[in-house]
Amino acid sequence: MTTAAPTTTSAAFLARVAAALEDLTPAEREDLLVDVRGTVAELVATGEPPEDRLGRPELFAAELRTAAGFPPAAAETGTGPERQSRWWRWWPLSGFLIGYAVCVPGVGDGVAGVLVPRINGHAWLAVLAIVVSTALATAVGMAATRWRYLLPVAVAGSVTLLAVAAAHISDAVRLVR
Amino acid sequence: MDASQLVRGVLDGAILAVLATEDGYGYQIVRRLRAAGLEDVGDASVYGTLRRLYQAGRLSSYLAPSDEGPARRYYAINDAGREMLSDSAKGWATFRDAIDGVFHSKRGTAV
Repeated sequence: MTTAAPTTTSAAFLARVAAALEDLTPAEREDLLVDVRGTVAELVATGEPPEDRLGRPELFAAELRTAAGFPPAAAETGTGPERQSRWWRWWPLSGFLIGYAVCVPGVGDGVAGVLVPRINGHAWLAVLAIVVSTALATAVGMAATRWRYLLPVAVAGSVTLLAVAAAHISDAVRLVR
Repeated sequence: MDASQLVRGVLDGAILAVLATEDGYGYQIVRRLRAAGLEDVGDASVYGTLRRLYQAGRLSSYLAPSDEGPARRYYAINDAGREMLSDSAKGWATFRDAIDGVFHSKRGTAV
């Protein structure tokens, strides 16, 4: 079988079409994308960049959904799929800030004592908690943009639990020594 | 006259007509329509229309493997689709005759 590997261009084209259909249910979106994927694969096999033949992915998606009988995306009002799909980009920052806010002690000697986050005096535990918080927020933000209003609570809760657990572990380690 | 505007109004019937001859997958249906002279037909319009006709029960579909990549979804016309095609063909003939009549009467009449 001579399967042509999808180029970055074709993957990017499909990703942008999918992003413009993000407000549809996964089943509806997949239903629309099946035929597009086949066409893109065929274009790649003939060496033609998808955008040359199919146009801009966002316009392509708009025509696709209208012809399929779905209402147009509300992109121009700022609540459409294109804007929604960018929401996850704020999550790493919010995860970092929440993690930092939970871990920073606000006491200590000098600027470093105040600004360097610590859990039970250990900077590395705090850094670990912040990294986990940032990664968690990124993953959650990417996975579930529809429930984004509830997510800060989930992330803050996770980080707090993590910080408390880390503090207990730290205490236990100190007691053992 | 922008032919793509005209095509949009009769795309359902044109797709059904193409599938009445032989089953086909999205890209292939676009190529058949273009080969038949509908050069301005858009890929996205055809795929969207196929999905709508399928949802409305006018087409059936099945997957078949492809050498180029992912499995292709083939569409086939069913009885409901043939009925719609027949109605579309009649509707188009009536519309064409009416427009012909308007054009011809205009040509011969000083307004």
